[in-house]
Amino acid sequence: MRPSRVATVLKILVLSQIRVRGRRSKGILSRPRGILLLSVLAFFASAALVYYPLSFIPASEAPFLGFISLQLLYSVPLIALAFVVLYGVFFLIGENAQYSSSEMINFMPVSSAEYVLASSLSTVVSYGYIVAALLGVSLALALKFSLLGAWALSSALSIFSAILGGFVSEIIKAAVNRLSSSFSKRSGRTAIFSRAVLIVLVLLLSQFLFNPGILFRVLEALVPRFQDFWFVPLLWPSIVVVEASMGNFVRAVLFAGITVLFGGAVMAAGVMVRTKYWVPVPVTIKLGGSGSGGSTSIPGSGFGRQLFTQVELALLSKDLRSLTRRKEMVRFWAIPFIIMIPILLSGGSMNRYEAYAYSGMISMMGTGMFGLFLSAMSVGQEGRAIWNIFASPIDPESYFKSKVLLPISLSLILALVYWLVFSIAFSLGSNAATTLLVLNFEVACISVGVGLYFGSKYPELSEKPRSSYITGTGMLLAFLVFGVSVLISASPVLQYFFVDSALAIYLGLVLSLLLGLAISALFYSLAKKQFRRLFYEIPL
Amino acid sequence: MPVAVRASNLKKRFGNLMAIDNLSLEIEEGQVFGLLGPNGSGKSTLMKMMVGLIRPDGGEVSIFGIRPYEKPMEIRHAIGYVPETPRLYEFLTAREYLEFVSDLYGVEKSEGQARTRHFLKAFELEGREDEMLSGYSQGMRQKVAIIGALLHRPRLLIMDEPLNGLDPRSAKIVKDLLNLLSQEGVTTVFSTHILEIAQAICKRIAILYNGALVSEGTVGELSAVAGAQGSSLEEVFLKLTGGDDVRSVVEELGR
Repeated sequence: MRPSRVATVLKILVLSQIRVRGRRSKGILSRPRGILLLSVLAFFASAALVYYPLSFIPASEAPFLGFISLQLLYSVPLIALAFVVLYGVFFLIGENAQYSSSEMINFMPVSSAEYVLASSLSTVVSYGYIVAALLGVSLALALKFSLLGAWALSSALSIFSAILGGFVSEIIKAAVNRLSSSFSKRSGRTAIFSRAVLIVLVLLLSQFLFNPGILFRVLEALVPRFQDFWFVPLLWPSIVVVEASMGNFVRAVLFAGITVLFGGAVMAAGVMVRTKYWVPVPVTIKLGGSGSGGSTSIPGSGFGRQLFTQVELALLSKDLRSLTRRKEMVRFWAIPFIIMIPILLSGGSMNRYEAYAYSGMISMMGTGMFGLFLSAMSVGQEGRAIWNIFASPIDPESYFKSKVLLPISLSLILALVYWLVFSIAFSLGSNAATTLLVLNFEVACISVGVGLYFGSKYPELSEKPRSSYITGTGMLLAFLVFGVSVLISASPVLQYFFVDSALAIYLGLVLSLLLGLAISALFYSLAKKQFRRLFYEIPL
Repeated sequence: MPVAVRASNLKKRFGNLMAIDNLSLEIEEGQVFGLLGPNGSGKSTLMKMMVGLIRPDGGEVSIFGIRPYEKPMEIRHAIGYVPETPRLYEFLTAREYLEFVSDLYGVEKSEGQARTRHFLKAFELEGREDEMLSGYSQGMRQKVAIIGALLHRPRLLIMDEPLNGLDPRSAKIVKDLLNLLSQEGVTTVFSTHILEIAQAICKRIAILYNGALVSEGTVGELSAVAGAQGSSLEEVFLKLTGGDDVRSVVEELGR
């Protein structure tokens, strides 16, 4: 293994991961040095941000906080490992399929061990600022409660754990490559469906595990008994810190030794599986031989034909297939479920008014985020294949109509589902249920209008390993405008809840509905104009 | 003979780069017209202007007497376009993609299906039409893009290096098809770097260099302009585009 080759491959992989996030090739943050600088900044900023408020803690609370801080230092290696694995998995899910191979490098004189080491380190470096921030927080606590020795050991082991996390990510990537290649070759449409379900489940599980509520509960249960789990290798770095801070140096050295051996074994496993499944085979998925259409085709005759032209139906059908078949689009299906996690965690512990507030918030956020993402991505997801649209006889109005229809239909369906589920689950009264229905409907309409406008004004059509389909500015503006619009449209209802107003609920709802429809109409009209401008010249 | 494509004093600038520099050109209906030029000479930009994908900064282009950016729908119905690197929707199967294209052009369902079957068979894609395009090779994708451009029976075919990645049999089919379509009155504008093909099938050829039209005519006329009568098109091309120093460059590289 030649370190210089590892360094070269590492540099390229870090560059690719940085630029995947949409950073341009100019500017300090688009270079590996910039990412290291960001990590250093995150470290010092988080340390300062936590250390300063700690000086205001009353002396009576100090022993308890000192104890909690030590517990945190035990946990930092485990948290660092989990974060790196999580982001490794996220990267894999969001990656554009056409870039998910190491074809670009496998013909070069680089051994698999060199590649695996470089790839693992690149994951660590790319997300290093998160680990750095974590270490910064723990440094502030260590300084305050005189735990610097434990902090130094915990930090060293956290960095080791982060690298270990990189190796684990490599193994997961190789396993996914292997599974998806062989499964897709055989299963056709089932493969697409299974992959979609799997992605949604992985995203849900990761969000569930990294929900602060759950994470703290797990650590709370685990930390005092770390030594009882001596047989779990991923906990060994934490056990080293526990043993060393208790003065059991022999045991600490023993666990440190087997931790290093375990790290070597994981790396060896990573090298082995990556060598075996080095390049994901370009998957050939065959979807039956029905002659025309498919499971996601829109009916080409009957009701559909009465409302839409042949062109609009074709575009609609294509977009629906895009949404169900593309790995990088499927992740958006997870949004409605992810939003539900806090309510699932709260279980049956809510009272009637909390349930009202939660159901309103969750269903509006779920519907809004879903509608906003789907519509904001609708133009950008065409990518470079957009020439097909611009070279064909499609007028901007038809294109706009087809782009409205899919997100609005799906968002309205989701709004109805949320309404039904929460109305039944929390036995909402007629006033609450009607309010929820009206607000959900407004949110669906506004989110799609705002999303379409910003998605067509700031589309991201360039081909990147992980495209976001809308520029960062576009997404930020869309979020802000959407939030403000929903607040404005919901204000007559909010006023009824929070201010002692003479407005009756139904009058508030009518006003809210009118406001919501007016805002939606404004953004649909702006978006339509933007679509006309978009058609002026191919935006590539 | 009526004119299919007329460009007069066309100009297009991308930043500091003059992509098309005061270019004027006429292409008669039913002709197979070749666009030749080194990389970056403006061939693709000119073709995109003909399709209406790019607007000229100056001058104008008209297709069958209509400016494409004024009546885009009318013009696009008449045109079949194959871009230089056709990006297709990879999540569709070839059949679904061609159905999609047929629908965009308003081709009758039964006619679209019949023509799709016919072309898939000719290009040896029969049996692979229900595979997703993500698994297709570059040549197979090129074939699908060419079929997509032919499905609606266009009056004008604009093909940017259509033979890229095609196997010899398919390349021969495309060449013969262009000749056949030409006899039926279909005009074809295509660019290529394979000069033998241009010489074999093009009635007239235009040579572009740095965005400007260097010369235009039959192979014989181009040879006369280059002062290289009896030479191959390759020699004429190199002479007109300042590439006749190839020998000295190779000798320099060989040292």
